[in-house]
Amino acid sequence: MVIILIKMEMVVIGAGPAGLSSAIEAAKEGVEVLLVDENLKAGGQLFKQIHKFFGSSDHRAGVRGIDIGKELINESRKLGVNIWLNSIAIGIFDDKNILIKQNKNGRESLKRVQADKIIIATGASEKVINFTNWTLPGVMGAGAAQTMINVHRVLPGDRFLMVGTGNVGLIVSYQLIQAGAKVVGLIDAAEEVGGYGVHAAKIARKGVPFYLNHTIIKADGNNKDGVTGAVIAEVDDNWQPISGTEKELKVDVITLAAGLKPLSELANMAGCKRTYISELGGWVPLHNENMESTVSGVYVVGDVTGVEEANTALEEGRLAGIDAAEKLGRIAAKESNNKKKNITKRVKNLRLGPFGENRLKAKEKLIKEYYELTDKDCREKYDPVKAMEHQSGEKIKRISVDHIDKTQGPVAVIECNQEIPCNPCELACKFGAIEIGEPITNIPILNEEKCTGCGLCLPQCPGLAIFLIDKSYSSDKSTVAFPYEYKHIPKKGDIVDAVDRQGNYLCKAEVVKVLQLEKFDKTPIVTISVLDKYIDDARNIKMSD
Amino acid sequence: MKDDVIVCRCEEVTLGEIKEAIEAGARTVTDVKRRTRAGMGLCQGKSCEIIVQRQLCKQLNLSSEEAHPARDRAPVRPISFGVLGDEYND
Repeated sequence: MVIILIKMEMVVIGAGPAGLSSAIEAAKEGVEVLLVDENLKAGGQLFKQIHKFFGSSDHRAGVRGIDIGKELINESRKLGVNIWLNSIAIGIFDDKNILIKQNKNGRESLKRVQADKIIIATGASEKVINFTNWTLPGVMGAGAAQTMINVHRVLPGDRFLMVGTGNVGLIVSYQLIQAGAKVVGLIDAAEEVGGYGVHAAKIARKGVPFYLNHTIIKADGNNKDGVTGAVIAEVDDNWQPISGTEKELKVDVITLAAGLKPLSELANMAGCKRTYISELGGWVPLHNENMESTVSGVYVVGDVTGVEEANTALEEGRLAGIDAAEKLGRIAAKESNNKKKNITKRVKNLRLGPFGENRLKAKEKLIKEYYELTDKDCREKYDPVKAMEHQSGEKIKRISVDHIDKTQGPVAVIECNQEIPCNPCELACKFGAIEIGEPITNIPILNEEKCTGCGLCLPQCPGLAIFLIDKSYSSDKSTVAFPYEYKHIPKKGDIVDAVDRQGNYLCKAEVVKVLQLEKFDKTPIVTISVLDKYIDDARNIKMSD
Repeated sequence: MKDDVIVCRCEEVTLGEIKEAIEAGARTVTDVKRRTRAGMGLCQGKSCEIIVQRQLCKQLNLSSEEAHPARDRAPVRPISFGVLGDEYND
């Protein structure tokens, strides 16, 4: 048996708000994205959310979830995201191989998809509680009832008992009433309503009773008729039912809103490290501030990494999508960081107030544990600005070549800022433009007046720390020349990816000259042209090997 | 709660059977799974795992953190042998 292998830059598993937004952000930057969802329709829980969303205008407050879902699907289709529906990622294996059961026009087959980046946006499932007869027809998750009424337009019964008063319990109760059902009551073992007061108030206005400090003892009924009633009782301080306080309620459906559990099987299978945080729904995969898990290139977004709500899921998805696009070289680090900063700020706002506080703390704990587990030193890149600051003892905002004039013509720039015993550059310059002197650990100083821009010092520097900048190349472009000691050397006229000092993608660049002289001793000098605004940062190129 | 209350509905394992397994030495979700088949059905423990964890905590006096979930394995959703064996591919 041969399973067809498909290579993809990015695979997103789960087309709910988090998955859709990550696919959209990455596709915007030109990343090739495959979005897989096990349902017949994309949108995840958004299509059940017929209520208006909370939040700020940044978060489409006041718009109904279902409409946000439609917009997201349209946008992702416009951006050319491949969407496989009714298709299931059944496992993640070594080297980011995903096994997917694809359903194409009703025909199922197994596909192996290998991705550079995997975004796991699998959401959460409902937690159950068990009691006598909880397996009777008529006992179901509150989310299941919500799917039945809002997606399939089927009311599963007439008289409902809602177990749990978190936002899910409250919102679904309200929607059941809207759908024409009678909600006989809501019970909660806690002494206070768990969800938003305004949601509770909507139901209370309909005269629905809240039984706080209560638990469910059993469902009445039989396999033929299903549920015919429920017995509830008050609980003591240890959450144990107090005998003699039992009440019988006549209901035909019992809906359970006992919280959600992150669906993290695929993340666990991929090797993502996890931790237990009860505020987030239990066991959750760790991630950093860009939503990347402890497995490089595997991201976790939305409820799978902590049960919250659609707005935070959307923002987490965006963070991951942008970060993945950046790592794939589709967006410059500067631009990416700006975007991520804005999103991070917005997410923080969503976690303010008494309802969000615990989630904020929990998420901070999660990120902290991520860094405790990963080797931070290996992850941090060498930062030339920091190195220069350390050297000079002064605060430097950025490294620039502002001192070079647009009309000046080619001139050397020496980015050597540590006292190391080395002076080939001094010897290479026939015009005496570079001075190190004694001791040899002195930092080289360039006398620009003497520099002719010949570039002979470039291949001589063992640190590859000298560049030749020519701002007079054209009205809006400058060139930078640098030594390039790799197997695949670009050719004149090639369009390549210019990168900054940390290897982050900056922009596209044209190779304008490649010089390979014998005296350079296998250190070709490559010259690229970039827009003037990138000349401070463009210091190398990335070639696909 | 009565011992005849179902815990794993896919495999029809009762609370009494879970209790017995723990009394007989099961210490983890996987231990319970091996002894009773709880979590080995169609849903692969998506519903009952949390109930088994609660029972482990209760009987062994563990914190929620100490009752680890079972190891996740492919396939995470049921898949037919036909598809797995590529029967329908050209």
